[in-house]
Amino acid sequence: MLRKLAAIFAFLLGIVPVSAMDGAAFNAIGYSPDSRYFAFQQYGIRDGSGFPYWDIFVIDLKADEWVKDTPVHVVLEEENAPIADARAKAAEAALPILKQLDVSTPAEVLAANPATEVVTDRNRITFDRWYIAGGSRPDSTGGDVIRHDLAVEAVERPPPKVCYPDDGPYYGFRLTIKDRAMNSSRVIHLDEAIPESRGCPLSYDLAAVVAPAGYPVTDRLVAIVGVYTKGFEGPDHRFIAVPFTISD
Amino acid sequence: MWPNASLAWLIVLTIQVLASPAHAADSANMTMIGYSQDFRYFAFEQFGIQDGSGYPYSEIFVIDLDNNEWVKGSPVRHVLEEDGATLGAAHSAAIARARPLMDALEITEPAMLLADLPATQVGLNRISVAFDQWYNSIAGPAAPQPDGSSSRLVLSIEAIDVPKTGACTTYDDPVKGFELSIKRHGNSEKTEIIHRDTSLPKSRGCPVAYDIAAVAAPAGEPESPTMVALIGVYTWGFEGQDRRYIAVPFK
Repeated sequence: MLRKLAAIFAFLLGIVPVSAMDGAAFNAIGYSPDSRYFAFQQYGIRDGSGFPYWDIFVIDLKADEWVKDTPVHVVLEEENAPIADARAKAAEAALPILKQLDVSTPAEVLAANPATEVVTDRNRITFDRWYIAGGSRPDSTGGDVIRHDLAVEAVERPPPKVCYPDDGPYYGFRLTIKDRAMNSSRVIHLDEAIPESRGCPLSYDLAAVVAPAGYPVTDRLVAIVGVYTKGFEGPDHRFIAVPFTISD
Repeated sequence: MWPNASLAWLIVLTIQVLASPAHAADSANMTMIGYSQDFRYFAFEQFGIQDGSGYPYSEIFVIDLDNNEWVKGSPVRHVLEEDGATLGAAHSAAIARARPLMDALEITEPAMLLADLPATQVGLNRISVAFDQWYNSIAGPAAPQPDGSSSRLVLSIEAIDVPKTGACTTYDDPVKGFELSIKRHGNSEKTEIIHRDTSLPKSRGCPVAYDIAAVAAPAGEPESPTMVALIGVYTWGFEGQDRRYIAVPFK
């Protein structure tokens, strides 16, 4: 409660209170060996209340849907509760599922733009599937270079039932992947309507691109789309996973 | 099948792997394991597929942030020198070996990345990285230009000449050390030097280049006691420049 009051006062004074950050951290847990299942977690301190939260998502990439009994959402509704305790609780709930699906292959992050990092364009990411010696530069080329552009675009959609229409407009998103070598683009996701689970989304960005580590038998990539929804003071940042494949 | 403990550790980790096909040059995966309860110790993992051999490896570093040195017993390095060994197995084995040390130091506090610059992402300025120390709950994601109340920091790295010593004397290329500096918003005139090599520690190999790979901070602990800059270190491998990481603490 004190934190909440402090947040209100800080808001009135026009300063950014450190206790009111609510840009979730993203963290890939890994894949199943056949790359069918992918798990990630998002965590942070809730805007306003100051409560720590920890969410674990397990996705069936083939079916593009959440695995039964997931996502796991944990919020510790007590003042100054440690975030490590929220993780422990979420891990306890998710472990049987992760174990059953054998989510034991680490993920590799091909590209990432945390919300705290200054980037030129939050709605576009260009990445290579494989490491080029020295690191990817705009001009770096070579026989193995397979360069891709991922782009997210907000598209206005009718307000979800749970959202105040006057606070809108609200947006779904379109996600496009472009293969530069083939010079071909395709839409990998387009919202016809805003799903209820997403809250009241105001905008989107690209948080990361993830792939299975090592030499996967089936290469299933995941675009991590950042969703900004109306929070206590300003926009809260959470994540959605969208599976896609590339040819290589 | 994985033992429960290893699986639990996967949840703890931020994982980032950059491997390439056909055993070409490799850029290690980088994983933040977290901080100790008193925020004095920090652990991270790097792993991947070895350049040349194709063997999966995992290495765990535990750093004493106060003294800026490896904790005794660290790093734990594990390579699975067998055909068909998986990264998951190497990771699992290294974690199992490092676990007693991490348990003893109570490394239980999650970390988060304030900036992340994977080697496969195109178009990044890896030499100078601007980021906010915490998410701006009113304005949202980091703006190009910081406002009055911004927690904006800019980290910059520069390769510098250092004497060639030991094994590096056989190399034709010059070997490089680095200087890492920081600028704080509202104090733009002042550049503070966080780290400057005068000589190369043996453990670093013979680096030819550096970049900034990531910036880590404790999650859920906004007045972060100590942040950690993860520096990409490039050395010649079997087929090109490999990328590994070292951690540099700063406030």
